[in-house]
Amino acid sequence: MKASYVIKRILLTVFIFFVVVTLCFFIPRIGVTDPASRYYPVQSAGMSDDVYEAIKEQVRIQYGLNGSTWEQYITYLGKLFSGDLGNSYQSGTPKVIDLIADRLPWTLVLSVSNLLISLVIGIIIGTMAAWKRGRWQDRALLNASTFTTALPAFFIALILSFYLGFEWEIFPAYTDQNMVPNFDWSWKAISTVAYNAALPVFAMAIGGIVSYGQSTRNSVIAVSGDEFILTAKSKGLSNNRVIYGHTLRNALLPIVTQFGMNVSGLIGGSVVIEQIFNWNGMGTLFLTANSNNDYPLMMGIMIFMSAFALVANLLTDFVYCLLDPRVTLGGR
Amino acid sequence: MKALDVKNLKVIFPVEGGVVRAVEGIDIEIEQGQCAAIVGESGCGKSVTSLAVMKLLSTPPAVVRVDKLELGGVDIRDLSDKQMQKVRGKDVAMIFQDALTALNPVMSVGKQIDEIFLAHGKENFLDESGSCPNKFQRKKEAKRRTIQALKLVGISDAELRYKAYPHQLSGGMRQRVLIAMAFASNPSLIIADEPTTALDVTIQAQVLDILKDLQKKQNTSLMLITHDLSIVMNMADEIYVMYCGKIVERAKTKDLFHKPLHPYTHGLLGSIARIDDECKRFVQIPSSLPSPMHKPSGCYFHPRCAYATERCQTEMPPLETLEGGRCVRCWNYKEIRYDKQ
Repeated sequence: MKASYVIKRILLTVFIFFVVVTLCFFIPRIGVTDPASRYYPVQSAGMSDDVYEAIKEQVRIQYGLNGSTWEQYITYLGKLFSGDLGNSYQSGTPKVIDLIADRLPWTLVLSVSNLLISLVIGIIIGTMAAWKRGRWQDRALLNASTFTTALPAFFIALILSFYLGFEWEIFPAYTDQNMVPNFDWSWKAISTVAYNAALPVFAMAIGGIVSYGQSTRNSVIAVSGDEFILTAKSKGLSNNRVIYGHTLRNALLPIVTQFGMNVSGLIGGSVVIEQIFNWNGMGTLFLTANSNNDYPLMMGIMIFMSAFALVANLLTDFVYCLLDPRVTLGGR
Repeated sequence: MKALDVKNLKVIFPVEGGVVRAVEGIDIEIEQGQCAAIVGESGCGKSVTSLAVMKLLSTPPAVVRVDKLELGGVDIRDLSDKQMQKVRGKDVAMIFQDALTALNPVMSVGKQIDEIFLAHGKENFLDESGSCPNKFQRKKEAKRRTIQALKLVGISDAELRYKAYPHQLSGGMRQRVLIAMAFASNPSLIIADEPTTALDVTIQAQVLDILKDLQKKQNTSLMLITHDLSIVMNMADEIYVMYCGKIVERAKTKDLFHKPLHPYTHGLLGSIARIDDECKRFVQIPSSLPSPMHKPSGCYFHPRCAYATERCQTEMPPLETLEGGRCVRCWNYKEIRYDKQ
């Protein structure tokens, strides 16, 4: 990996980020003549148009919507550069960055546990299916993958929520947004969160497990047929050494790519699931912002999600190149 | 002492709608320090034979039957896979055809050779005082031996190449790494499966020289598997010609080149380019190898044989042993007079 390549990739990432910010700024403003209109007071009888215009201008200044769209854009970029995502239109006009910081851990609880469970169980199941190729274990995985591909996660979530939540009342179908007012790392707090997170995580992980399982299975089978596995056996290595040292080491390379793609979706990937279970995360925050036309909050969340995804993609490429010596990024 | 003694080796692959008889009862004997070549077209069962000797065929699907399988006088016929792990890489090693695919792409070549030393136990690392070194010392010693092995096959800058990955080396260099790997633990038998087929002709010669040189130096027995008779001429002491899973002729190299007895051997010799030859065109064997699932009746070679008689179409000739241990499987070898090529 050359330093010049690293710098080039980072610059490209920054450029893409700039494009994302621009799109996030302009797209919500397309078709809306005056985004501040919903915050104007009603023009009372007898109020002259001049006075009403002055009041409207006051409101626009309050929400930072005065001046032309280009002026607003330049102001936004300037503030963003100093790390300020602006203030939400919610009552009390809290800082967008504070709202995000408040919800982010809740989303990460769901998505990180989903990703880790999917990855670990998926690799184990996939390796087993490859080992038992053509037997019932393998066929079960194939059938499961047809099933989960056809059923989207939100549908699985609805079924789980209905049966395990409403009918049998094993797990909460609708989580209390204030389940742990002050998270203090006590056993009680952790177990409460885990209990509430069980259904949403499970609903998301089913698809993930099967997907990682299927990729691992195909990859392991492909590598097992490679000649260097025969070489390894002809050297008299033990079965474990052949599987862990040679087969899995090569078979898991494509899994790293899949993992990297999933990491970039850690924040934005659970919007629908959060909504179904009333989970107090970024997804519900975004939908609330959307229905309230809360531009700063919407933009802030989108920009934050894309920045996270961009950094995750960048890191995946660098990690891949450390794992596979054949990938010399940017040439020698 | 015989380095390898195989009697009546059969390998069958059950497939949909029948069985493929890949190897049909062949005998191979290799004396210690000798080189025996197994020659034949692709698909005649050469590689399957080599894998069966290493007991590396996965069973199932393959079915292997053998009356006798001895390595350096030790019976390995009934050894379990676990017991075979102690034999492979130590008493018998293998060189594969395409070094790029035969080496693990994400492991440095040095580490891949280290594995052989490390896999075969602590007892290989005892020093003069008989004390057993710890894991770290063993790894260091393995690296020292690997670099020595790399130097032995003529790799310059062995310390540097130790860290190289397979894709960073040239084809000839990779093949040398495979040879170093095979000779690393000084085995009594090395099986080389088409060791030079993937190389340029010039590199072929270099690699064969190294192989021959090391074989003589270490008094290793070599089982050379190839379709190319021209490389066999300088390497082998004895040649087995295989056709459709059967040995059709076995002879000392000089005898075989001087006077081939089987029409198939004669055909193979006709397809070698020779510098001292007046012949303008190669003589080719007509048609191609029959499908292993539908082998012809009688002598398998009769549909392609210019000298076939009626008997050849119905009866499989036996492998007849002549004086001097030479064998041939043909009804008419005494009558056939080949034109001078």
